[in-house]
Amino acid sequence: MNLSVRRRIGLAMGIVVLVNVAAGAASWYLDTRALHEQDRADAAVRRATWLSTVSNDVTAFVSEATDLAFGVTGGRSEEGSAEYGDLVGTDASVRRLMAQAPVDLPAADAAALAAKWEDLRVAVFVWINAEAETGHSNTRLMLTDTGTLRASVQSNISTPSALIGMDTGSLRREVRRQTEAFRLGVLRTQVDGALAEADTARRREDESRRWASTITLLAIAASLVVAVGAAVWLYRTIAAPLSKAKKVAEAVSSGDYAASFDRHGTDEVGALIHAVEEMRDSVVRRIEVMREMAGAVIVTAEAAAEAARTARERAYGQGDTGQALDAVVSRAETLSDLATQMLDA
Amino acid sequence: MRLYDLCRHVSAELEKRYTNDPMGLLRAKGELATRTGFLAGLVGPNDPEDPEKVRRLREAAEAMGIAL
Repeated sequence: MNLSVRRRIGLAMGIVVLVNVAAGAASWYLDTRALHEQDRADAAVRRATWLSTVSNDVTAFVSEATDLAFGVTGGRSEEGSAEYGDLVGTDASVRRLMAQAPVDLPAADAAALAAKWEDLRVAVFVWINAEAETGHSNTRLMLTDTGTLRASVQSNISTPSALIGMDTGSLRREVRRQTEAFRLGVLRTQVDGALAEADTARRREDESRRWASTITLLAIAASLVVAVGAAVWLYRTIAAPLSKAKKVAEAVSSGDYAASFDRHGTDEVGALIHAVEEMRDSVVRRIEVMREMAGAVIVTAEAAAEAARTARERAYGQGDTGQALDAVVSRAETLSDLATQMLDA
Repeated sequence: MRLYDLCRHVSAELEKRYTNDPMGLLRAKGELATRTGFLAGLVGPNDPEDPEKVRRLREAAEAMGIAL
């Protein structure tokens, strides 16, 4: 890949950052999902707990009604007695509980629950009042304007058409049937549904947390691999060539002009290597020129010496020395020109 | 042949002739420089052509026994 050093470092850092950001985003998403599932599971458990409380209260209500019915039949009840007060209180308690249904209880479930409860409640009142009449008691149950109960000498509870004509025994069985239908039908179904939902949410929460942990570990491993890969890549493409360039420069400085590089790139490192090579070639060329110049000086000096010797011998012999001296002058001028060229180069 | 190529050719011939004699090579290159009046090592591939230098280089090479 032919990239500049700056781009290469940027790319390596970018990949490392990208891996970490992707892992962080995935981990954040899974953590958020786990928290959401945790909330969902908690809500389902709260719903199941609430339904269980409703079941207990309804059971207590029916149990108190049964005790009261048998008590009334036996003629032991009086107006405003504790038994009536307990039943009225439990009825109010169940009504309050039903009004405080969890917000996440499905509307259809809440409606079904309320309808069944109302059917059961009315059946219980009709049965209790019927038992009261049978037992010659003057205490009956009345509905107030707000729908709550109170003990009274009169009954204003209208009998549903399905219960009209039933004797106390049939009413008792009907109450038992509706109680079972309420507890084992509607309530059990909703409790089971809530617990199943809580279980599913807990499983999803665990799954999300496991995935978050796995992704975090994978991200650490991936970051490590990418970082090591980037370090190796940067070393091979930047540090190693720079080290080679340094060795070549040192070799040139110590006189080894045959030192060379294996590869060139078009990046900053390649440009640096190219510059070092040019410097090496320039140094080699200048040394070559200096050698050439040194050779010329030597040759010229030898020739000048030879000419001078000849002139001297001829001078000793009283001969003509002009030609030999001209050669000395010519060679000296040439030497001067060459020296000037070298200095100008 | 261009001046630069001639310089390279002559230098190569001299280096071949004095492979094991660095001092002889130095003297031969000096002799060539004194005969031509310029330093062959300073001639670059992009230098302008100079017929006078080419002529002097050819004469010096022939005088030194180098066939061109």
